[in-house]
Amino acid sequence: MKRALLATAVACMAPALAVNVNAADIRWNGFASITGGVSTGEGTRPDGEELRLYGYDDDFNFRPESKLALQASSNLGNGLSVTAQAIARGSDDFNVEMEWAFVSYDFGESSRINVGKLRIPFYQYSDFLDVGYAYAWIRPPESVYDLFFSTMEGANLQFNGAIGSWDSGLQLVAGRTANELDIFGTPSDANLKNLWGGAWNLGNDWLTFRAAYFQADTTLTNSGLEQLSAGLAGVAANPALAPFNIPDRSEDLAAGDDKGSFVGFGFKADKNDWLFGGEITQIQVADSFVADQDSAYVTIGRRFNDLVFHVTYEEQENKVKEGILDGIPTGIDPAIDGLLASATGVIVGGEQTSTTVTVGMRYNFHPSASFKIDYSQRDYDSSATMDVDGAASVVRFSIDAIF
Amino acid sequence: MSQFFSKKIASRLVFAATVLLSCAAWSGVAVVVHPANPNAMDENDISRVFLGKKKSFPDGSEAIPVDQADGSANRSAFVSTILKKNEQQIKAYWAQLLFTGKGTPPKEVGSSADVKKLIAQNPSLIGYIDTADVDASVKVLYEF
Repeated sequence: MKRALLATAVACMAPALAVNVNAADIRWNGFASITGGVSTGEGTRPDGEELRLYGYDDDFNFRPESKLALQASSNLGNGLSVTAQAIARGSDDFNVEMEWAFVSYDFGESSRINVGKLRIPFYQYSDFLDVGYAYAWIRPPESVYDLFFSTMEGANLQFNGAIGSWDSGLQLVAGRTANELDIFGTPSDANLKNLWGGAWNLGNDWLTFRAAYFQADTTLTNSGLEQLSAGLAGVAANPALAPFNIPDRSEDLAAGDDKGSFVGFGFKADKNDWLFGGEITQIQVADSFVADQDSAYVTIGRRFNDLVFHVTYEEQENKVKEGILDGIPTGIDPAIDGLLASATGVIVGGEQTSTTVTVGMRYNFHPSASFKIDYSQRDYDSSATMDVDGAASVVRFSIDAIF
Repeated sequence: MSQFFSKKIASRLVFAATVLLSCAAWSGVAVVVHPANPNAMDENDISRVFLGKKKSFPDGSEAIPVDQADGSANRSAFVSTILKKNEQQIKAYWAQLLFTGKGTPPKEVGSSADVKKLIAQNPSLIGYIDTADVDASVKVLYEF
């Protein structure tokens, strides 16, 4: 009976397919990650702030990383298609947000332009960051995947081709984005304008290499920072202090239309049931208080039929910029000394070095779903100025499905 | 008597041959296109079309791959032999492309008979069917 129904359905479809297999119907797909975890340890900063991993605390919690997404795409024919992806994240009270929304146009044999709200392909796993089913971890290594921007409004050009037996994929992007974030405990705005760059992938059936570069005019708006910056400008402009020839360092502290750059390299291998991978990235915001960030991870895994075991080592180093406040003398006025101390605190506060180790397991219990358990521990470098006491750790499990 | 004997042997031979043939047919999969499709393709060309890396036949005309139903024996054989991936890997592969708008997996159209029926009507399609279902309505590009 079922077969007969199916045959009838296919027979009915056949004339439509014969005319145009890409009829303008809407294709629905989705993915979900139900992720829970509990913090098993935390680091404490000298100012008393607790450092915990991935948003978990001492009570078992499903909110920080659970998510569900629905995607609708429609092929309009002649190379034109429309895609929209709505996602509800536990970390955002499961409010539904439009994560991707774009129009695509295919031209030539293997080129495409996407215009709309798109992912910025910073990292190897950026494009499918939310699709837990597509990788073995519960989330890609956070020491590297640490930018608070993931999408932009703009355009993305994709060129795919083959170089011998290798597949080459080039993505060029241009656009802008903004996000709200927390700086020094105060809500702040981050703006990336004139964002442009690209990522290049070269891979065969088991090995892929990747290189990426992006840059943008970066502005961080924060009330505390603005006061400090205004203070520094005021000190330099104060006629009473003219004999001391104090340089104006306000622009060196603030991030206002300063050049932010991102460089990343990565590789991925999957051969004979062994999995290897790694990425190394560098983020800088020139002429600002923002510390230079270097990060990297390496991962190794082994597949046994439906089971994958993996170990990952991550490092993140935030290096304080030297010389931002050079030339401002101390001991002239307690107010200037106070200003210097605050500004120094802001700069030095960005310093942090950590290493994280994650061990985990993935079990593909269903063709479209898998179960994962990860344990992660992060140790903070005690030689840093912001001496952190203790290590943060978390144990998590996740069910990841695609549909 | 002797005639009867030889007839019996002959019918047995035919029976044996039929069994052999159907066994061979049952384990074989043929990659097929419309008979008017002039292209020749090797395993790598076929794999690239089914992985969405190529959207045209060697002569430049549009190529639209069609899959069989998820979980069918023919599909499993095709995925492991031609695409050289397991079911989970191919699902993860398409998830990566699908949720980034880079590509959509081939349409699923059920059984060998369903695939053959569609391909016989459309020169742009490429699919794989049980070798037992091969007839003049389709052209075989590759068999395994």
